[in-house]
Amino acid sequence: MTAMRAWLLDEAPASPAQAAMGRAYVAWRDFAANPLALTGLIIVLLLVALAVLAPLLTAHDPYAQNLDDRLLPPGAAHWLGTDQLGRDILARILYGARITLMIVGLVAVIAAPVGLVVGCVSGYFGGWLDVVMMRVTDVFLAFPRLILALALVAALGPGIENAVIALALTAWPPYARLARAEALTIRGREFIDAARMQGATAWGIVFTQVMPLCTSSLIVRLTLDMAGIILIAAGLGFLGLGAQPPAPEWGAMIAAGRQYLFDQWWVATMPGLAILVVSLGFNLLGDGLRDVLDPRR
Amino acid sequence: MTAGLEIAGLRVAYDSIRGPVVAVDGVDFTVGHERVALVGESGSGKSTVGRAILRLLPPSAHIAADRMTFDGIDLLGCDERRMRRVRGGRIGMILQDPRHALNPVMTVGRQIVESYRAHGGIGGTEARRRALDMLAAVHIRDPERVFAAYPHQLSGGMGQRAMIAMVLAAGPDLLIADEPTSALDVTVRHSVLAILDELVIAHGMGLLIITHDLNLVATFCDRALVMRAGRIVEALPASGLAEAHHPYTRALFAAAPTL
Amino acid sequence: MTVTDDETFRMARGRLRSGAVLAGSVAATILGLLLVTFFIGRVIPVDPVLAVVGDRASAETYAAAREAMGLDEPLWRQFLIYLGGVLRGDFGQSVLTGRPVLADIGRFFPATLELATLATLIGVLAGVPLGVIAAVRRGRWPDHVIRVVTLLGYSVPTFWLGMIALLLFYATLDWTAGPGRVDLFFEGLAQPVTGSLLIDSALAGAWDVFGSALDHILLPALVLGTFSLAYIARMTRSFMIDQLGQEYVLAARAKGLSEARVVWRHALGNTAIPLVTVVALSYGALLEGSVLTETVFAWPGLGAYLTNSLLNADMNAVLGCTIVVGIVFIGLNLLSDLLYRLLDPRAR
Ligand SMILES: Nc1ncnc2c1ncn2[C@@H]1O[C@H](COP(=O)(O)OP(=O)(O)OP(=O)(O)O)[C@@H](O)[C@H]1O
Ligand SMILES: [Mg+2]
Repeated sequence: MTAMRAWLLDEAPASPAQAAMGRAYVAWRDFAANPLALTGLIIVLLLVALAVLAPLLTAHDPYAQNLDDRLLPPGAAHWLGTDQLGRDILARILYGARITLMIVGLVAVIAAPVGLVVGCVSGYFGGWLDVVMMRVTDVFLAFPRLILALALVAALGPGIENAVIALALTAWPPYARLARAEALTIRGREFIDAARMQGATAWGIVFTQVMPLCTSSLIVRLTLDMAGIILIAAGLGFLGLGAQPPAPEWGAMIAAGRQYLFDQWWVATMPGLAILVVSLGFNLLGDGLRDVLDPRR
Repeated sequence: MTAGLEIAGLRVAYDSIRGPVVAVDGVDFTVGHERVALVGESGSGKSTVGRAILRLLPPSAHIAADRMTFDGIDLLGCDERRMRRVRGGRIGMILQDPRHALNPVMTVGRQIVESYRAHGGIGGTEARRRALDMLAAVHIRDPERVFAAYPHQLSGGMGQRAMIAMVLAAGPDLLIADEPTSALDVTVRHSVLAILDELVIAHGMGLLIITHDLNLVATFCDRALVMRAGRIVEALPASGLAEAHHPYTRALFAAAPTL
Repeated sequence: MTVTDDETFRMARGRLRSGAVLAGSVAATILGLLLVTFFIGRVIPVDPVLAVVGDRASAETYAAAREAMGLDEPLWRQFLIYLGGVLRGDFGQSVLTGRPVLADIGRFFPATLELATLATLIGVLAGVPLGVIAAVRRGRWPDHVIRVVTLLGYSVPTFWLGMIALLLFYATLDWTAGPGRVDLFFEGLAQPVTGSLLIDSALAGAWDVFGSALDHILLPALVLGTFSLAYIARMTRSFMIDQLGQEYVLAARAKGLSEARVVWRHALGNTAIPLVTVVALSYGALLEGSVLTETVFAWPGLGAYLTNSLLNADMNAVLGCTIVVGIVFIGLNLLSDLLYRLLDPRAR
């Protein structure tokens, strides 16, 4: 164990692999030494587990209405109480985690690659292409993001697919910025020249050499953005523009509980807590990652 | 009780991911009313010694010493309030690069006045008058203009002279100068040093100057302490540097360009 | 509320563009903004006319709107028509209120500005000291506590926080007034001068109205201010950590200055410059955040107007709000640019 540690922390690593593993080890040690970051990681993993295992964790059907049991306070039968249609709130929150994960995942899968392509192309080719693309990016960055998403959903019509499209359309510009900055530094490296000499086309270089190198910083950035995406998605749901009833989307659940707020507080409080915990988890994780990768801040 | 700075068995270690790094490893020396040079290669611990004297090391540093006193004041044991009066008031410190060591958003004048007011217990107008005098004393030709200027508006040489004025303002008895000229243009180095030397003699101060420049040591100092890897390996009169016995000192001297 | 730390750093560093470049980029950004709203309003909807006039419009209204939008023309002509209208201040009619959108916005915006301003004030007054303390006590328990608190502020859905605050402080404890801008009894009593009820009532010496207005604004402002507090505290912390590591801080300590003076005067003095950008960005974020908060607190501002328009698919009003808030965003950026030049002696 100590020998292993010494090998990892060797000041004069014998191979690039040893150096890389040493760096990874130091990074992981920093990360693991930060209890807040670990908490974040655990929350996020727990969210995934809960979403996947939802049917095993609750016997209740999130859609099953039972008007005799409506608005029951938290208790033995319904741990978090029931809503205005007698549905079990815990079950709805567990199944709602799937919706949240799906939205976040889809937005990430759409926005990150778009940003990556725009940024890498812009940074690698430069010139007027760069100017135009960055102008467009700036316009989107200058936009109030939530309001742009709202306007888009208003034009497209409410619904979860349109909410995802709107979120993705407003999420890509920061990734483009980031990827461009990386591409600019990569462009000047020797192995790019080498690839060019060997007759690789510019587009080939962008896709095979530049993009893979930009990906890692993009992933960190994506983690940091997750909480923001969750909050905006919940906001859309709250306004009735996201997932439509009877889907157990957390924002929509809060909206439904609003009229019972003062008498049956749990209906709106529980899904809000779920949003808070999950978005806190992503924020803690992202914050820890940032600390490890950029200790200066 | 002896006057001046007395240090015995000073040790400083920095925390790091690989455990503590010993930067200063048992250093003894004294500085009276004299000009002492601390020389040695980069990383040998010179700046750490200078900052340890004023207890201005970062939180990751741990200081210990058998004895560290100035005019009988226990520099390690005294409380923070007492230490604040020592800083600037009894022991001043000049840093390497005036471009970074002066607050960029405060005028030079305010920064000098601040020194006076921290120690002198004098009013604003009086502090201003003395600051202008002090700027004149460091041979600044247009004190009014420099007083109102921001640091970025000054040349390197002027900035370093303004810093000397700021540090001398509260009338310290000992001056620690950490490479006071190495960030300056070669052409102005000598004049800044000459001014420093003149004021040190005029005020009867002690001087601990940290430097790489052995020619400077030979010209301006009385004694030299040679540091290597956290230890003082040789102490000798400045004039005797060329005849040093220790092979490390000889190597250092051999590497220095001649004036 | 979507300003992130990295963007702030970029914006705080990418300063000092020349005046001409600045004007050009502002113009280009506004043009881009209008292009985007044009697409959202005229290109995406299946029947843009219907989206603008609503489905209860008469055949004449429909035909007139179709004519005015130039839907038979090529797309670029339509954009020019749209551009001409917007530049003349014609954002169309609101289906919901039947009045010009711009007039509606003029009526509702002051309430939002009042709320966002107070929230920003709270954010600055609490966030800056918290950030400074966290930086000074870096890595020790005050820093950890402040970090958790600010991350909570980043993570909490404001609309939900508003509801919980109402439940707690209004319904249960009865410490503050409930939804609305002022007690019904005082509605319309203060002569509108500035549009800020607090200032107007104070000017008129109507202290009972002022008291009621303060009672009503405190809770939504605190809720909205949570984000701004968290954001400003985090940014202050990282700027301060930067500054505390600088040589001039060492020099200031070596002069024998008190730690308080070194921290609050020297280091914070330098931190204040990039913080201007942060405050401007957070103000913009609050305008945006007010959309949801106002709904919860029945606050009669732009956010509530926008929400109502959204729910009624009132496209003219939605896009009008989008444009106005977008232009305010750009204006705030410009303002922070100018302030930056004013505050930093190196940039003058
Ligand atoms: N803040 C710190 N944290 C950890 N180690 C440090 C720190 N400051 C200095 N050190 C280490 O302490 C040793 C002595 O550093 P110091 O700055 O005193 O050297 P120096 O003699 O002044 O060098 P130079 O001539 O380059 O200024 C070095 O090995 C350095 O790496
Ligand atoms: Mg040094």
